[in-house]
Amino acid sequence: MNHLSNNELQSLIDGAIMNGERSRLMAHLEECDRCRREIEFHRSVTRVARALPPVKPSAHFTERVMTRIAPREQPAWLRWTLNNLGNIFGMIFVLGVLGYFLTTPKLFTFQTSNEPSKLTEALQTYNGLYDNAKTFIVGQAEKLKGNPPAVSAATDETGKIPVMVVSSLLLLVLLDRFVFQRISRVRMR
Amino acid sequence: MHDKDQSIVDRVLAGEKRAYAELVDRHKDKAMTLAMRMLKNREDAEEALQDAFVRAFHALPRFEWKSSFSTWLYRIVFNVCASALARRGEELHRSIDEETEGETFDPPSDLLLPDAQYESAEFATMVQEEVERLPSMYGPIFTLFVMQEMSYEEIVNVTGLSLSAVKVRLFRARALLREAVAKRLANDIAELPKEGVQESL
Repeated sequence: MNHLSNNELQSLIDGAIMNGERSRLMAHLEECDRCRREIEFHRSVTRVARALPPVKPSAHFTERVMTRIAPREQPAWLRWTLNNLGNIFGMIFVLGVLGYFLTTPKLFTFQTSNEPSKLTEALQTYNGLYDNAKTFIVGQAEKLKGNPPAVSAATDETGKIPVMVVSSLLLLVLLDRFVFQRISRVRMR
Repeated sequence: MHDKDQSIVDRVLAGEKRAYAELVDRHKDKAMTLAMRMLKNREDAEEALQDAFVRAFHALPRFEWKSSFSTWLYRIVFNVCASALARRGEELHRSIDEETEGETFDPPSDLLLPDAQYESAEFATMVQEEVERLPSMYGPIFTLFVMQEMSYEEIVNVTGLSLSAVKVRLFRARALLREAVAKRLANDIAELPKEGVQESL
């Protein structure tokens, strides 16, 4: 007995047979147990497969797609703050330093007190290093000129303030460039 | 379905980008099923699906509604997954000769189907497992036709295959399922105690 062809079998499974063909194929199915079983099996598979649950993506799939498409806009004030984080910290630092100097005039004279504060000690160390460097550079310059090195007993107190201000500003610029702006960029991502 | 998709697409094109999330939610499960049938790996499938949705978003202004949104989206998913398979060195498209030679493909006759209870939960489990195991060449076609109830023409549109290639691949998918499930059914019957077999016969 000739069995159904693949196309005939597939058409019967999907219920897509032409009217003219139907009676011939149905007559064959009545006689052929093998083809009948095939049709019954494939129809059952189709029915079961149609009822299978879809494969779901993970819980935050849609958010991840939307983050790539349209990242949520941050509020303007937050964006401004993050963009200017370095400047804000710099301003606070400068104001803090200036405020401290203005409210603590003793520091400008660098007089040794009986119990110097940590900040005073730090500033004295800073000034000591500055004086040593200055003495060394002046000494070397005098040597080159052939003059004996002049011992500077007293430091130029008025020269220290511009050096400190320039050093602080340089420190701020470096902090802003290499620290605050990077933090800002990381937070904006 | 079509009207709802169209109204969301119109909103997205009008500038309401966040409305695209509704389209993603509506289609992600079926699209994920297609991606899984092709890539066989959850992580790869999800990554490919993300790429496909992003590409679809950027291509949305060029979508002309010559097909439904879902057919258009599945085409993108199919192409992204096909590229992923190509990167792995797996072939998805074959030559016309290889495709059409399958028209004379016969289902295995040596393994007759037993009188089985096709309504049982075990049968459903077998079908699910064997559908998941179908090769990337046939699994997506079976999924699109049977599970997503697409017509042959829509599958041609999604896959870019010829109509005869789609029919051949669908039949091969069915033949592979039949062989695998019939073997498992035969094994199950062989493992039954004798009284059980006599009862089932």
